[in-house]
Amino acid sequence: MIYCKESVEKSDFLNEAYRDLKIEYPKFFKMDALSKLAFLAAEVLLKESILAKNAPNPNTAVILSNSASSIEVDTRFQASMRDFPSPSLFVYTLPNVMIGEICIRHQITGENMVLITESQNSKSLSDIIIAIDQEVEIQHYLIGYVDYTEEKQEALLAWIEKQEKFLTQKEQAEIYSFTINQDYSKKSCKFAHFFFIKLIII
Amino acid sequence: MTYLISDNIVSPLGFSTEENFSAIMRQQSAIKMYNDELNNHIPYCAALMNQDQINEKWNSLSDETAYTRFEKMAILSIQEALNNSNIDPASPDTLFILSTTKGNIELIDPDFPHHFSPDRVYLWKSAQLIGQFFENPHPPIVISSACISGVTALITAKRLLDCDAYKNVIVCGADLISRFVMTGFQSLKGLSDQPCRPYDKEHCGLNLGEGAATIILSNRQVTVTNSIKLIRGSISNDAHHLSAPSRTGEGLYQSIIRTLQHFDIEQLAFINTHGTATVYNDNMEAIAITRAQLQEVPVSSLKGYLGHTLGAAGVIETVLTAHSLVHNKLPGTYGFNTIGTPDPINVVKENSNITQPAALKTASGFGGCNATLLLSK
Repeated sequence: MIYCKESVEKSDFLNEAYRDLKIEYPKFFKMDALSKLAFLAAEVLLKESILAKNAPNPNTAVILSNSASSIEVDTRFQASMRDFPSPSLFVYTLPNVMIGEICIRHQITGENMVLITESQNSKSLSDIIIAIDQEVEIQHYLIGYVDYTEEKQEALLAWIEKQEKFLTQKEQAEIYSFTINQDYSKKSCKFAHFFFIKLIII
Repeated sequence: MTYLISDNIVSPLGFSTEENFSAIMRQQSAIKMYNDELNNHIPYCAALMNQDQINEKWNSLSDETAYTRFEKMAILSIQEALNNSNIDPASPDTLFILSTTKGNIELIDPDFPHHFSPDRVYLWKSAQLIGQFFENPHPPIVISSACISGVTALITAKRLLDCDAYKNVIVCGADLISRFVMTGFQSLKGLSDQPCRPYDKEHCGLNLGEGAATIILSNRQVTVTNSIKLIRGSISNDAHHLSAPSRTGEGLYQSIIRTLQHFDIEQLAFINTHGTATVYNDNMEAIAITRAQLQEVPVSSLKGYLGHTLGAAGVIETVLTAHSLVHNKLPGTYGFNTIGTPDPINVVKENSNITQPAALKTASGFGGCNATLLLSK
């Protein structure tokens, strides 16, 4: 799935997408841009998932990577320090807070982590997911890359519903392909749903 | 099996684990009172590094000036841990993991004079330079999960070692207290203007601290005596609130239960908790510990000695927990006098001797995250 929106000012993009997707979650407007982006991508992706809303999901893991940490809100918090340092901005100055928002929304209580990587393609992300799978009983994974800077805003998430107790060889290969080659367009991929959201201003 | 084969702590109490452990066993706290521009001249208590001391140590290690004070602190800690081991940091069998919340964030402050390029604020960039200093061939893994970063990094290292991806993992946790961080915690009204008092009835906020620590983990045992193993770890999320912990301690409780599964809790000598001395945190931990039926197990917090060192805390406190097990000595909880949590857990006030072989380390942080790990002889 690719979500594109044309002729929208960059600053309005996330709020416009929220309205388009007809989500009702007023807390969305309090979030920083990184959390909004991650939240929206997860929202579309998990709509079709087998997760029961409002039931705790201890066997779901959220493992994301990101390059610029929370730089967008860091810059805004730094600017707010001149007048009135804003506690509501400061709360968002950690990259794992986007995972916190997704966990609250979907009641996910399992393993969760953010890796900071130079680029989207990261072997570390797949290595870590596969290492976690050997030790922890996990049924579903929400994995991917979410990054928000002045120049680049991108979320690329995959939802994996495991077929067996451990990730199969094929699933592991798919995870490598997804995290290293950014192979999100593969139509034949049956093990996961992919959602891809990218800002396009024309 | 994962072994802790070498470690180091760089803190205001000293540049080696031994200096830190013995200062703490002498009940020496690094927390001091300040009144300066770091907190806009509002008086505060913190455990801050002496910059001249860092530079002096740095100059005896390298004549390079191209490193920030955050990177210098991390490199000094890693170097010292390496000196006490025979691990080759340049080997492809060795991986670096850096744990930090804000790294070089002070570089975005327009009032902070520096000559570094703007990309230095990116944590991956800073980690790459640290890895390159030791000529390691892999891109380092950077974990930034608020205050559980350090414990998360150690758990991740163990899991990667378990699947034979590497033979050794060097985990370094480091954080500085910049105006950014100080002002942020001040804005949340989370700071105490007095030395912090974990779990005490007078607990009223945390003190921030600076530091770095390193643990080298290996899937091979190097010494037969005194070797500490990382048995298991687990990470959870409260799915409740971003900045306030769960009222039922759910996430921490879940993480404790998962980490202690199949483990005889009679073997637990103590729990080294997060114990920040904020009312929210301390009460939540007491609830989770009681729910896990560990209310009789001695609980110790190290925040009264070193403050809350954020992304470094999990690594610093795991080093000290391991050394407690090695020496059979548990430091008392500095600042604690009378239990102030509604659930009365067994917080230790004075130094004591321990006999059991294992300890649980816990951490909780913003974003609702919790992590625990189990160490044993």
